[in-house]
Amino acid sequence: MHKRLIELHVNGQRHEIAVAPNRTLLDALRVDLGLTGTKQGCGVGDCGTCTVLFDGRPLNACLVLAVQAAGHEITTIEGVAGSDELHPVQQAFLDHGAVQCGFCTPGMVLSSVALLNHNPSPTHDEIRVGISGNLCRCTGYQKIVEAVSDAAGRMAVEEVDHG
Amino acid sequence: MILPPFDVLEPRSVEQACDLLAEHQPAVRLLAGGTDVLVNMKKRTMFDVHPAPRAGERFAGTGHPWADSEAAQVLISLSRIPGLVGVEARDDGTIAIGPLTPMTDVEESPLLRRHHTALCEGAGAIGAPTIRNRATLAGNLCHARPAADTAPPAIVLGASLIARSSQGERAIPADEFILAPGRSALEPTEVVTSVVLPARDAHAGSAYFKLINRATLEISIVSVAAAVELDGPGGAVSAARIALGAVGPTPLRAPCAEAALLGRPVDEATLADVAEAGRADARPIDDHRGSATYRYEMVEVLVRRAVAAAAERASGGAHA
Repeated sequence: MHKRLIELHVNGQRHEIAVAPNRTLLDALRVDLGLTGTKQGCGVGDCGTCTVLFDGRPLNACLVLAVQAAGHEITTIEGVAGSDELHPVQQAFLDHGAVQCGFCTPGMVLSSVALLNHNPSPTHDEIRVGISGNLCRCTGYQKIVEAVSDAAGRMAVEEVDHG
Repeated sequence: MILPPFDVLEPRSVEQACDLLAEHQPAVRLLAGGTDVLVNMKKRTMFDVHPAPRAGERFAGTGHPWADSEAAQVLISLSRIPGLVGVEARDDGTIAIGPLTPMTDVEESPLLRRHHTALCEGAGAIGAPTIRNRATLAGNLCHARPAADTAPPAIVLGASLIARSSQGERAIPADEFILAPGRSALEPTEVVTSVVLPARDAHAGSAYFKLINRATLEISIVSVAAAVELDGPGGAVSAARIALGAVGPTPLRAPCAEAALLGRPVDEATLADVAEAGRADARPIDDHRGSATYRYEMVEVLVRRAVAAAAERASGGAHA
Protein backbone atom coordinates (compact mmCIF):
# COMPACT_ATOMS: atom_id res chain seq x y z
CA MET A 1 0.00 0.00 0.00
CA HIS A 2 1.15 3.54 -0.73
CA LYS A 3 2.75 5.50 2.03
CA ARG A 4 1.08 8.71 3.02
CA LEU A 5 2.33 11.92 4.57
CA ILE A 6 1.10 12.59 8.08
CA GLU A 7 1.91 15.17 10.74
CA LEU A 8 2.61 13.73 14.18
CA HIS A 9 2.63 16.06 17.19
CA VAL A 10 5.04 14.49 19.65
CA ASN A 11 6.27 16.12 22.86
CA GLY A 12 5.24 19.52 21.54
CA GLN A 13 7.10 19.13 18.24
CA ARG A 14 5.60 18.61 14.80
CA HIS A 15 7.03 15.92 12.56
CA GLU A 16 6.01 15.26 8.99
CA ILE A 17 6.65 11.64 8.08
CA ALA A 18 5.60 9.21 5.38
CA VAL A 19 4.06 6.01 6.76
CA ALA A 20 2.41 2.91 5.37
CA PRO A 21 -1.26 2.60 6.43
CA ASN A 22 -0.45 -0.46 8.58
CA ARG A 23 2.33 1.33 10.51
CA THR A 24 1.58 1.42 14.22
CA LEU A 25 2.12 4.59 16.23
CA LEU A 26 4.69 2.59 18.19
CA ASP A 27 6.78 1.85 15.09
CA ALA A 28 6.42 5.41 13.84
CA LEU A 29 7.77 6.71 17.17
CA ARG A 30 10.60 4.21 17.49
CA VAL A 31 11.69 3.73 13.88
CA ASP A 32 10.67 6.90 12.04
CA LEU A 33 11.29 9.40 14.85
CA GLY A 34 14.00 7.50 16.74
CA LEU A 35 12.17 7.88 20.06
CA THR A 36 13.14 4.48 21.47
CA GLY A 37 12.13 5.28 25.05
CA THR A 38 8.73 3.79 24.21
CA LYS A 39 9.24 0.02 24.33
CA GLN A 40 7.80 -2.78 22.24
CA GLY A 41 6.52 -5.63 24.38
CA CYS A 42 3.64 -7.98 23.69
CA GLY A 43 2.26 -6.06 20.71
CA VAL A 44 -1.36 -6.81 21.65
CA GLY A 45 -2.18 -4.35 24.44
CA ASP A 46 -1.54 -6.60 27.42
CA CYS A 47 1.81 -5.45 28.82
CA GLY A 48 1.66 -1.65 28.64
CA THR A 49 5.35 -1.11 27.92
CA CYS A 50 4.41 0.88 24.78
CA THR A 51 2.22 3.29 26.80
CA VAL A 52 2.15 6.87 25.51
CA LEU A 53 -0.18 9.75 26.31
CA PHE A 54 -2.67 10.42 23.52
CA ASP A 55 -4.33 13.80 24.09
CA GLY A 56 -3.31 13.34 27.73
CA ARG A 57 -4.64 9.81 28.20
CA PRO A 58 -2.43 6.73 28.48
CA LEU A 59 -2.95 4.07 25.83
CA ASN A 60 -1.04 1.33 24.03
CA ALA A 61 0.86 2.73 21.03
CA CYS A 62 1.03 -0.81 19.57
CA LEU A 63 -2.77 -0.71 19.02
CA VAL A 64 -3.01 2.70 17.35
CA LEU A 65 -2.24 3.24 13.69
CA ALA A 66 0.12 6.12 12.96
CA VAL A 67 -2.41 7.59 10.51
CA GLN A 68 -5.02 7.62 13.30
CA ALA A 69 -2.61 9.54 15.56
CA ALA A 70 -2.05 12.34 13.05
CA GLY A 71 -2.96 15.70 14.56
CA HIS A 72 -3.35 14.36 18.11
CA GLU A 73 -1.00 15.40 20.91
CA ILE A 74 1.34 12.53 21.75
CA THR A 75 3.59 12.50 24.81
CA THR A 76 6.32 9.88 25.13
CA ILE A 77 8.73 9.30 28.00
CA GLU A 78 11.19 11.64 26.24
CA GLY A 79 8.71 14.49 26.73
CA VAL A 80 8.03 14.06 30.44
CA ALA A 81 11.05 15.68 32.08
CA GLY A 82 11.66 19.43 32.24
CA SER A 83 14.68 20.94 30.48
CA ASP A 84 17.01 20.56 33.45
CA GLU A 85 15.18 18.39 35.96
CA LEU A 86 13.24 15.15 36.03
CA HIS A 87 9.48 15.04 36.40
CA PRO A 88 8.57 14.48 40.08
CA VAL A 89 7.30 10.99 39.14
CA GLN A 90 10.65 10.12 37.54
CA GLN A 91 12.60 11.49 40.52
CA ALA A 92 10.40 9.54 42.94
CA PHE A 93 10.97 6.32 40.94
CA LEU A 94 14.74 6.85 41.34
CA ASP A 95 14.53 7.75 45.02
CA HIS A 96 12.34 4.73 45.88
CA GLY A 97 14.28 2.17 43.86
CA ALA A 98 11.18 1.61 41.74
CA VAL A 99 13.28 0.63 38.73
CA GLN A 100 14.89 -2.75 38.31
CA CYS A 101 15.40 -3.83 34.69
CA GLY A 102 13.66 -0.64 33.57
CA PHE A 103 11.73 -2.07 30.64
CA CYS A 104 8.30 -1.27 32.10
CA THR A 105 9.47 2.08 33.51
CA PRO A 106 8.58 4.43 30.61
CA GLY A 107 5.03 3.07 30.51
CA MET A 108 4.73 3.04 34.31
CA VAL A 109 5.87 6.67 34.49
CA LEU A 110 3.44 7.80 31.78
CA SER A 111 0.47 5.98 33.34
CA SER A 112 1.42 7.49 36.70
CA VAL A 113 1.77 11.01 35.29
CA ALA A 114 -1.66 10.71 33.66
CA LEU A 115 -3.15 9.36 36.89
CA LEU A 116 -1.78 12.26 38.95
CA ASN A 117 -2.96 14.82 36.41
CA HIS A 118 -6.46 13.34 36.73
CA ASN A 119 -6.37 12.55 40.45
CA PRO A 120 -3.70 14.54 42.35
CA SER A 121 -3.97 12.58 45.61
CA PRO A 122 -4.77 8.95 44.81
CA THR A 123 -5.00 6.19 47.41
CA HIS A 124 -2.69 3.19 47.03
CA ASP A 125 -5.62 1.23 45.60
CA GLU A 126 -6.28 3.95 43.02
CA ILE A 127 -2.59 3.94 42.07
CA ARG A 128 -2.76 0.17 41.59
CA VAL A 129 -5.74 0.58 39.26
CA GLY A 130 -3.99 3.45 37.47
CA ILE A 131 -0.95 1.32 36.63
CA SER A 132 -2.88 -1.93 36.14
CA GLY A 133 -2.28 -1.85 32.38
CA ASN A 134 1.47 -1.84 32.94
CA LEU A 135 3.11 -5.13 33.83
CA CYS A 136 6.36 -5.31 35.78
CA ARG A 137 7.98 -8.75 35.64
CA CYS A 138 10.65 -7.90 38.19
CA THR A 139 7.58 -7.81 40.50
CA GLY A 140 8.48 -4.44 41.92
CA TYR A 141 4.97 -3.07 42.22
CA GLN A 142 5.22 -2.13 45.90
CA LYS A 143 8.08 0.32 45.36
CA ILE A 144 6.37 1.73 42.28
CA VAL A 145 3.17 2.38 44.23
CA GLU A 146 5.19 4.04 47.00
CA ALA A 147 7.02 6.18 44.44
CA VAL A 148 3.80 7.36 42.79
CA SER A 149 2.27 8.14 46.18
CA ASP A 150 5.36 10.13 47.15
CA ALA A 151 5.35 11.93 43.78
CA ALA A 152 1.76 12.99 44.43
CA GLY A 153 2.90 14.59 47.68
CA ARG A 154 5.86 16.33 46.01
CA MET A 155 3.65 17.68 43.23
CA ALA A 156 1.14 19.02 45.80
CA VAL A 157 3.99 20.86 47.57
CA GLU A 158 5.23 22.28 44.24
CA GLU A 159 1.71 23.43 43.51
CA VAL A 160 1.63 25.35 46.80
CA ASP A 161 5.15 26.78 46.27
CA HIS A 162 4.31 28.00 42.83
CA GLY A 163 1.00 29.37 44.05
CA MET B 1 3.56 -9.05 16.06
CA ILE B 2 3.27 -7.60 12.60
CA LEU B 3 0.13 -6.22 10.98
CA PRO B 4 -0.70 -7.55 7.52
CA PRO B 5 -0.81 -4.99 4.72
CA PHE B 6 -4.05 -3.03 4.31
CA ASP B 7 -5.25 0.40 3.32
CA VAL B 8 -6.92 2.77 5.81
CA LEU B 9 -9.70 5.11 4.80
CA GLU B 10 -10.76 7.93 7.09
CA PRO B 11 -14.22 9.19 6.09
CA ARG B 12 -15.40 12.49 7.54
CA SER B 13 -19.12 11.61 7.75
CA VAL B 14 -21.28 8.57 8.48
CA GLU B 15 -22.76 8.81 4.95
CA GLN B 16 -19.26 8.64 3.49
CA ALA B 17 -18.41 5.69 5.75
CA CYS B 18 -21.55 3.82 4.60
CA ASP B 19 -20.69 4.43 0.96
CA LEU B 20 -17.09 3.25 1.41
CA LEU B 21 -18.26 0.20 3.35
CA ALA B 22 -20.60 -0.82 0.53
CA GLU B 23 -17.99 -0.08 -2.12
CA HIS B 24 -15.21 -2.21 -0.62
CA GLN B 25 -17.18 -5.37 0.29
CA PRO B 26 -16.30 -8.03 1.26
CA ALA B 27 -12.65 -7.54 2.32
CA VAL B 28 -13.36 -4.51 4.49
CA ARG B 29 -13.65 -3.88 8.23
CA LEU B 30 -14.71 -0.95 10.35
CA LEU B 31 -12.04 0.30 12.74
CA ALA B 32 -13.09 2.02 15.97
CA GLY B 33 -10.69 1.86 18.93
CA GLY B 34 -8.75 -1.00 17.37
CA THR B 35 -8.19 -2.89 20.62
CA ASP B 36 -9.92 -5.95 19.14
CA VAL B 37 -9.61 -5.49 15.36
CA LEU B 38 -5.88 -4.75 15.33
CA VAL B 39 -5.13 -7.52 17.82
CA ASN B 40 -7.02 -10.03 15.68
CA MET B 41 -5.27 -8.81 12.55
CA LYS B 42 -1.90 -9.17 14.24
CA LYS B 43 -2.78 -12.67 15.41
CA ARG B 44 -4.21 -13.52 11.98
CA THR B 45 -7.54 -14.38 13.56
CA MET B 46 -10.65 -12.74 12.23
CA PHE B 47 -13.90 -12.85 14.09
CA ASP B 48 -16.63 -12.44 11.54
CA VAL B 49 -19.24 -9.81 12.27
CA HIS B 50 -21.49 -10.79 9.40
CA PRO B 51 -24.92 -12.23 10.20
CA ALA B 52 -24.61 -15.34 8.05
CA PRO B 53 -22.08 -16.87 5.69
CA ARG B 54 -22.81 -15.87 2.13
CA ALA B 55 -21.96 -17.59 -1.12
CA GLY B 56 -18.25 -17.34 -1.78
CA GLU B 57 -17.57 -15.75 1.59
CA ARG B 58 -13.91 -15.88 2.43
CA PHE B 59 -13.93 -15.31 6.15
CA ALA B 60 -17.19 -16.84 7.28
CA GLY B 61 -17.26 -18.62 10.60
CA THR B 62 -15.93 -17.51 13.92
CA GLY B 63 -12.36 -16.98 14.81
CA HIS B 64 -10.76 -19.18 12.22
CA PRO B 65 -7.19 -18.28 11.30
CA TRP B 66 -6.58 -16.69 7.94
CA ALA B 67 -3.62 -16.07 5.72
CA ASP B 68 -2.46 -12.59 4.78
CA SER B 69 -3.94 -13.08 1.34
CA GLU B 70 -7.39 -13.40 2.94
CA ALA B 71 -7.06 -10.38 5.23
CA ALA B 72 -9.31 -7.37 5.09
CA GLN B 73 -7.69 -5.17 2.48
CA VAL B 74 -9.38 -2.02 3.65
CA LEU B 75 -10.00 -0.68 7.16
CA ILE B 76 -12.46 2.18 7.48
CA SER B 77 -11.44 4.21 10.52
CA LEU B 78 -14.39 6.06 12.03
CA SER B 79 -12.44 8.29 14.40
CA ARG B 80 -12.32 11.36 12.11
CA ILE B 81 -16.13 11.51 11.92
CA PRO B 82 -17.38 14.28 14.22
CA GLY B 83 -20.20 13.62 16.67
CA LEU B 84 -19.61 9.93 17.40
CA VAL B 85 -18.20 10.43 20.92
CA GLY B 86 -20.09 11.45 24.04
CA VAL B 87 -23.02 10.75 26.34
CA GLU B 88 -26.07 12.92 25.80
CA ALA B 89 -29.39 13.25 27.67
CA ARG B 90 -32.29 13.81 25.33
CA ASP B 91 -35.50 15.71 26.02
CA ASP B 92 -37.56 12.50 26.07
CA GLY B 93 -35.48 11.13 28.96
CA THR B 94 -33.48 8.69 26.83
CA ILE B 95 -29.70 8.75 26.78
CA ALA B 96 -27.76 8.53 23.52
CA ILE B 97 -24.18 7.28 23.66
CA GLY B 98 -21.91 7.89 20.70
CA PRO B 99 -20.61 4.59 19.30
CA LEU B 100 -16.97 5.67 19.59
CA THR B 101 -17.28 6.80 23.21
CA PRO B 102 -14.29 5.29 25.01
CA MET B 103 -14.96 2.93 27.91
CA THR B 104 -13.34 5.40 30.32
CA ASP B 105 -15.98 8.00 29.43
CA VAL B 106 -18.81 5.47 29.75
CA GLU B 107 -17.46 4.37 33.12
CA GLU B 108 -17.10 7.92 34.46
CA SER B 109 -20.21 9.53 32.93
CA PRO B 110 -22.22 11.19 35.75
CA LEU B 111 -25.31 10.90 33.54
CA LEU B 112 -24.94 7.10 33.30
CA ARG B 113 -23.76 6.61 36.90
CA ARG B 114 -27.08 7.89 38.17
CA HIS B 115 -29.55 5.51 36.54
CA HIS B 116 -27.53 3.13 34.33
CA THR B 117 -24.89 1.99 36.80
CA ALA B 118 -24.53 -1.50 35.34
CA LEU B 119 -23.20 -0.07 32.07
CA CYS B 120 -20.61 2.03 33.93
CA GLU B 121 -19.54 -1.08 35.82
CA GLY B 122 -19.33 -3.15 32.64
CA ALA B 123 -17.25 -0.51 30.86
CA GLY B 124 -15.01 -0.18 33.91
CA ALA B 125 -14.43 -3.95 34.04
CA ILE B 126 -12.75 -4.10 30.64
CA GLY B 127 -9.00 -4.49 30.26
CA ALA B 128 -7.04 -1.77 32.03
CA PRO B 129 -7.03 2.05 31.85
CA THR B 130 -4.78 1.95 28.77
CA ILE B 131 -7.37 -0.23 26.98
CA ARG B 132 -10.41 1.63 28.34
CA ASN B 133 -9.03 4.91 27.01
CA ARG B 134 -9.11 3.47 23.50
CA ALA B 135 -11.75 0.70 23.37
CA THR B 136 -15.21 1.92 22.36
CA LEU B 137 -18.73 0.96 23.43
CA ALA B 138 -19.91 0.01 19.94
CA GLY B 139 -16.66 -1.84 19.29
CA ASN B 140 -17.19 -4.03 22.34
CA LEU B 141 -20.80 -4.81 21.33
CA CYS B 142 -20.06 -5.36 17.62
CA HIS B 143 -17.19 -7.69 18.42
CA ALA B 144 -20.00 -9.89 19.77
CA ARG B 145 -18.00 -12.06 22.16
CA PRO B 146 -19.87 -14.20 24.71
CA ALA B 147 -17.95 -12.45 27.52
CA ALA B 148 -18.27 -8.87 26.21
CA ASP B 149 -18.50 -6.80 29.39
CA THR B 150 -20.91 -4.17 28.10
CA ALA B 151 -23.36 -6.66 26.57
CA PRO B 152 -25.19 -7.93 29.69
CA PRO B 153 -25.58 -4.35 31.00
CA ALA B 154 -26.82 -3.14 27.59
CA ILE B 155 -29.32 -6.00 27.52
CA VAL B 156 -30.75 -5.45 31.01
CA LEU B 157 -30.96 -1.68 30.49
CA GLY B 158 -32.99 -2.21 27.31
CA ALA B 159 -30.43 -0.53 25.03
CA SER B 160 -30.93 -0.26 21.27
CA LEU B 161 -28.19 0.01 18.68
CA ILE B 162 -28.98 2.40 15.85
CA ALA B 163 -27.54 0.98 12.63
CA ARG B 164 -27.24 2.94 9.42
CA SER B 165 -26.38 1.95 5.87
CA SER B 166 -26.76 3.67 2.50
CA GLN B 167 -30.23 2.05 2.45
CA GLY B 168 -31.47 3.61 5.68
CA GLU B 169 -31.53 3.34 9.43
CA ARG B 170 -32.92 0.81 11.93
CA ALA B 171 -32.85 0.13 15.66
CA ILE B 172 -31.64 -3.25 16.89
CA PRO B 173 -32.45 -4.20 20.52
CA ALA B 174 -29.32 -5.17 22.46
CA ASP B 175 -30.82 -8.56 23.40
CA GLU B 176 -31.19 -9.42 19.71
CA PHE B 177 -27.82 -8.01 18.67
CA ILE B 178 -25.35 -10.80 19.39
CA LEU B 179 -26.27 -13.92 17.39
CA ALA B 180 -23.29 -16.23 17.81
CA PRO B 181 -19.69 -15.97 19.01
CA GLY B 182 -18.27 -13.07 16.97
CA ARG B 183 -21.43 -12.63 14.94
CA SER B 184 -23.77 -9.69 15.40
CA ALA B 185 -27.06 -8.74 13.76
CA LEU B 186 -25.28 -5.93 11.94
CA GLU B 187 -25.39 -6.24 8.16
CA PRO B 188 -21.98 -6.04 6.45
CA THR B 189 -22.87 -2.60 5.09
CA GLU B 190 -24.17 -1.14 8.37
CA VAL B 191 -22.48 1.25 10.78
CA VAL B 192 -23.64 1.69 14.40
CA THR B 193 -24.30 5.40 14.85
CA SER B 194 -25.64 5.47 18.39
CA VAL B 195 -26.47 3.34 21.43
CA VAL B 196 -29.74 4.52 22.99
CA LEU B 197 -30.81 3.78 26.56
CA PRO B 198 -34.43 4.25 27.62
CA ALA B 199 -35.25 6.50 30.57
CA ARG B 200 -35.19 4.76 33.94
CA ASP B 201 -37.89 4.81 36.57
CA ALA B 202 -37.18 6.71 39.80
CA HIS B 203 -37.09 3.42 41.75
CA ALA B 204 -34.82 1.63 39.30
CA GLY B 205 -31.37 0.22 39.91
CA SER B 206 -28.87 -1.93 38.09
CA ALA B 207 -25.57 -3.69 38.71
CA TYR B 208 -22.92 -5.74 36.92
CA PHE B 209 -20.63 -8.33 38.49
CA LYS B 210 -17.76 -10.12 36.80
CA LEU B 211 -15.84 -13.12 38.12
CA ILE B 212 -12.17 -13.08 37.10
CA ASN B 213 -8.91 -14.66 38.21
CA ARG B 214 -7.07 -11.37 38.65
CA ALA B 215 -8.23 -7.79 38.98
CA THR B 216 -7.52 -6.47 35.47
CA LEU B 217 -6.81 -7.48 31.88
CA GLU B 218 -9.05 -10.50 32.26
CA ILE B 219 -11.91 -12.11 30.38
CA SER B 220 -14.88 -13.12 32.53
CA ILE B 221 -15.36 -16.65 33.79
CA VAL B 222 -18.96 -15.67 34.53
CA SER B 223 -20.62 -12.26 34.50
CA VAL B 224 -24.12 -11.15 35.47
CA ALA B 225 -26.04 -7.91 35.01
CA ALA B 226 -29.35 -7.17 36.69
CA ALA B 227 -31.77 -4.25 36.40
CA VAL B 228 -34.84 -3.94 38.59
CA GLU B 229 -37.68 -1.50 39.15
CA LEU B 230 -39.46 -1.48 42.49
CA ASP B 231 -42.97 -0.35 43.50
CA GLY B 232 -41.18 1.96 45.94
CA PRO B 233 -38.14 1.87 48.24
CA GLY B 234 -37.89 -1.69 49.58
CA GLY B 235 -41.03 -2.61 47.63
CA ALA B 236 -41.91 -5.47 45.30
CA VAL B 237 -40.16 -5.86 41.94
CA SER B 238 -42.34 -4.41 39.18
CA ALA B 239 -39.87 -5.01 36.34
CA ALA B 240 -36.76 -7.17 36.17
CA ARG B 241 -34.13 -8.02 33.62
CA ILE B 242 -31.17 -10.30 34.21
CA ALA B 243 -28.47 -11.25 31.69
CA LEU B 244 -25.56 -13.67 31.89
CA GLY B 245 -22.16 -13.42 30.22
CA ALA B 246 -19.57 -16.12 29.40
CA VAL B 247 -21.96 -19.00 30.11
CA GLY B 248 -23.30 -19.53 26.58
CA PRO B 249 -22.38 -18.90 22.95
CA THR B 250 -23.73 -15.36 23.37
CA PRO B 251 -24.65 -13.20 26.34
CA LEU B 252 -27.98 -14.66 27.53
CA ARG B 253 -31.20 -13.25 28.91
CA ALA B 254 -32.18 -15.16 32.06
CA PRO B 255 -35.98 -15.60 31.81
CA CYS B 256 -36.22 -18.18 34.63
CA ALA B 257 -34.39 -15.89 37.05
CA GLU B 258 -36.46 -12.90 35.93
CA ALA B 259 -39.72 -14.82 36.48
CA ALA B 260 -38.60 -15.84 39.96
CA LEU B 261 -37.96 -12.19 40.83
CA LEU B 262 -40.99 -10.43 39.38
CA GLY B 263 -43.69 -9.30 41.82
CA ARG B 264 -41.70 -10.16 44.95
CA PRO B 265 -39.84 -8.03 47.49
CA VAL B 266 -36.08 -8.57 47.29
CA ASP B 267 -35.43 -10.50 50.50
CA GLU B 268 -33.31 -13.54 51.35
CA ALA B 269 -35.95 -16.05 50.23
CA THR B 270 -36.41 -14.28 46.89
CA LEU B 271 -32.67 -14.00 46.30
CA ALA B 272 -32.22 -17.71 46.97
CA ASP B 273 -34.99 -18.61 44.49
CA VAL B 274 -33.73 -16.19 41.83
CA ALA B 275 -30.15 -17.45 42.14
CA GLU B 276 -31.29 -21.07 41.89
CA ALA B 277 -33.47 -20.24 38.87
CA GLY B 278 -30.51 -18.53 37.18
CA ARG B 279 -28.76 -21.90 36.88
CA ALA B 280 -31.48 -23.04 34.50
CA ASP B 281 -30.78 -20.07 32.24
CA ALA B 282 -27.04 -20.75 31.90
CA ARG B 283 -25.54 -22.94 29.17
CA PRO B 284 -21.86 -23.01 30.08
CA ILE B 285 -19.10 -25.13 28.60
CA ASP B 286 -15.81 -26.38 30.04
CA ASP B 287 -12.85 -24.32 28.92
CA HIS B 288 -9.49 -23.13 30.24
CA ARG B 289 -11.17 -20.38 32.29
CA GLY B 290 -13.40 -22.75 34.23
CA SER B 291 -15.51 -25.89 34.13
CA ALA B 292 -19.21 -25.85 33.33
CA THR B 293 -19.92 -27.21 36.82
CA TYR B 294 -18.00 -24.35 38.44
CA ARG B 295 -19.73 -21.82 36.22
CA TYR B 296 -23.21 -23.08 37.24
CA GLU B 297 -22.21 -22.56 40.88
CA MET B 298 -20.87 -19.08 40.16
CA VAL B 299 -23.95 -18.06 38.16
CA GLU B 300 -25.92 -18.66 41.34
CA VAL B 301 -23.53 -16.52 43.40
CA LEU B 302 -23.32 -13.67 40.89
CA VAL B 303 -27.08 -13.55 40.17
CA ARG B 304 -27.68 -13.17 43.88
CA ARG B 305 -25.12 -10.37 44.22
CA ALA B 306 -26.24 -8.51 41.10
CA VAL B 307 -29.93 -8.61 42.00
CA ALA B 308 -29.23 -7.58 45.61
CA ALA B 309 -27.06 -4.65 44.50
CA ALA B 310 -29.56 -3.54 41.84
CA ALA B 311 -32.42 -3.65 44.37
CA GLU B 312 -30.41 -1.71 46.94
CA ARG B 313 -29.72 1.00 44.37
CA ALA B 314 -33.38 1.02 43.34
CA SER B 315 -34.26 1.65 46.98
CA GLY B 316 -32.02 4.72 47.00
CA GLY B 317 -28.67 3.24 47.97
CA ALA B 318 -25.28 4.53 46.93
CA HIS B 319 -26.26 4.93 43.30
CA ALA B 320 -29.87 5.31 42.30
